[in-house]
Amino acid sequence: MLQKFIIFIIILTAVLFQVSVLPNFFSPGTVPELAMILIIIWTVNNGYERTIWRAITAGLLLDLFYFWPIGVNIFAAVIISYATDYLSDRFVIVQKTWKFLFLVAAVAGATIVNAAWGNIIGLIFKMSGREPGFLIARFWDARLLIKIIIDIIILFIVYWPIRKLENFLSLYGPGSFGQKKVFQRR
Amino acid sequence: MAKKHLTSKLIKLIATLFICLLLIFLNPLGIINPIRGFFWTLARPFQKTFYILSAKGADTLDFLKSIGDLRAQNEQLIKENNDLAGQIAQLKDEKRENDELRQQLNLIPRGQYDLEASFVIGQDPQKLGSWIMIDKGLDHGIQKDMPVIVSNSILIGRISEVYPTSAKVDLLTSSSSSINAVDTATSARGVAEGEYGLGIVLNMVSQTDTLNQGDGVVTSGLGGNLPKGLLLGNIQEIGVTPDKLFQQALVAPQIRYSQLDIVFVIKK
Repeated sequence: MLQKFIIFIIILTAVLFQVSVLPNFFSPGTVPELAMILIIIWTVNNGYERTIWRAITAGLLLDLFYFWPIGVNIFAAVIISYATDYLSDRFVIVQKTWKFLFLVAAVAGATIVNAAWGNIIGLIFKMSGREPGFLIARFWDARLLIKIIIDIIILFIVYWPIRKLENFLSLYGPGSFGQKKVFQRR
Repeated sequence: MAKKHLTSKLIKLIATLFICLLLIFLNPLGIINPIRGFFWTLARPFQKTFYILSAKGADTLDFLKSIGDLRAQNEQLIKENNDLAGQIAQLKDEKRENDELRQQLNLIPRGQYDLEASFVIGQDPQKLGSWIMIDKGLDHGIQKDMPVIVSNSILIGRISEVYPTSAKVDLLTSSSSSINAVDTATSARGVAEGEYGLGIVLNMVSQTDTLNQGDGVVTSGLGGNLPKGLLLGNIQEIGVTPDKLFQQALVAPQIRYSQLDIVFVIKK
C-alpha cells in the first residue's frame, strides 16, 4: 500500500512539474515529458503487466492537468508501455549492455508517437466540428527534435534516482525492481 | 502457456484502448470538470510554490545568460528612456485635455477597473502554449469571459474555465480567441484571432483601411464584454487574405506569455 502511495505521489509530482515547473525553463513545445519517461523506465525494468496501472494513472493525471479530454493521454501511455515491453522482450537480451541504449531509443520513439497521437486526435476533433483546443499546429518541426534531445537528457537524470527509489520501495512490496521480468523470462 | 499469457495481455490492452476511445469521443468535456476542479484545488498550494520557485530560478538563469548583453541593453534602455520621457510629457498634457473633455461629456473615467491580482500557477506545456492557470477562482468572484491583463492594461486573454480556487485563462494566441480590435494610429478595425499558439493575426481589415508596421493594436470595445483600449500588441507584418478581399496583419504580443507570474483579472 505504501509502495503504491509513493508511486502515485511520484507520478503526481512528475505531472505537476510538467505543468508548473518545467515550462519556466523550456519554451512551449520542448517541455520534457517526465511522466512518459518514468513509464518507459518502469516498463523496461518491471514489464508491462506491473506498469499498466502506473501508465493509466499517469495518463489520467496528464489529461486532468492538461485540460485534454479524458482518455487521450491514457491511450498514449498504455500504447507506449505495451510497445516498449514488446520491443524490449525482443531486443534487450543482454540486459546491462543494451538496456540503456534501448531506453534512449524508446524515449525518442515515444516522444514522436506522443506528438503524432496528439495531432491525430486534434485533427479528428477538428474534422468533427469540435474545437480541439490542443491541436498541434505542425507535427514535425525543429522543436520536436529539440524535445527528443531534452527528453533523453531528462532520462539520464531521472533513471538512477528512480532505480534507487524502486529498489528501496521493493522492501515494502513484492518482487524487486528489475527482477520480475527476469523471472518471467525463465 | 506463453501464448495464452500473451493473449490475455493483448485482450487487456485492447479493452483498455477501447475504453479510452469511448471516453475520448463520447464523454463531453464538461462532465469531468468537477473531478478536474478537485485535482486543481488539491494541487494548487504545491503548484503555486513550484511555479514561483521555478520562475525565480529561471529568472536567475536568464540573468546569468544575459550578463554579456547588459552593456548594449543598458545603452538601448537609456535611449528608450529619454524618448519615453518626452512622450510622457506630451501624454500628460493630452490626458489633462482628455479628462476635461470626458468630464464635459459625462463619460466614466477610463482605466479604472476592479482588478483581482492573481499568481500564475501553471501553463500549457504543449507546443501551443495557449493557456495559463491562475490561483483565483469562483471564491474570489472570478467569472467566465472576464478579461485578464498585466501592467499598463496589456490584455493577455480571457477566463475560459472557473474552479473554486483556480481558473483557466485562454491566451490571445489560443485558437479559440477572437477579439474585435482597432489600429491605434489609423483606426483600422479588424478581428484579432489566435493562431494555434503561434501568434495573433488581425483579420478582416478592409482593403481601404491603412495598416502600418509598428502600430499598436487595442481592443475596440465592440461586441463583447472587453473594455475599450486594452493593448494586444504591435503590428509586425502586413499581408492580404488568400482571397484578396481583406488585409491581415501579424500582431506581436507586447510580452512573453511564457514568463508571466502575476496577472490581473478585470472584474468590472
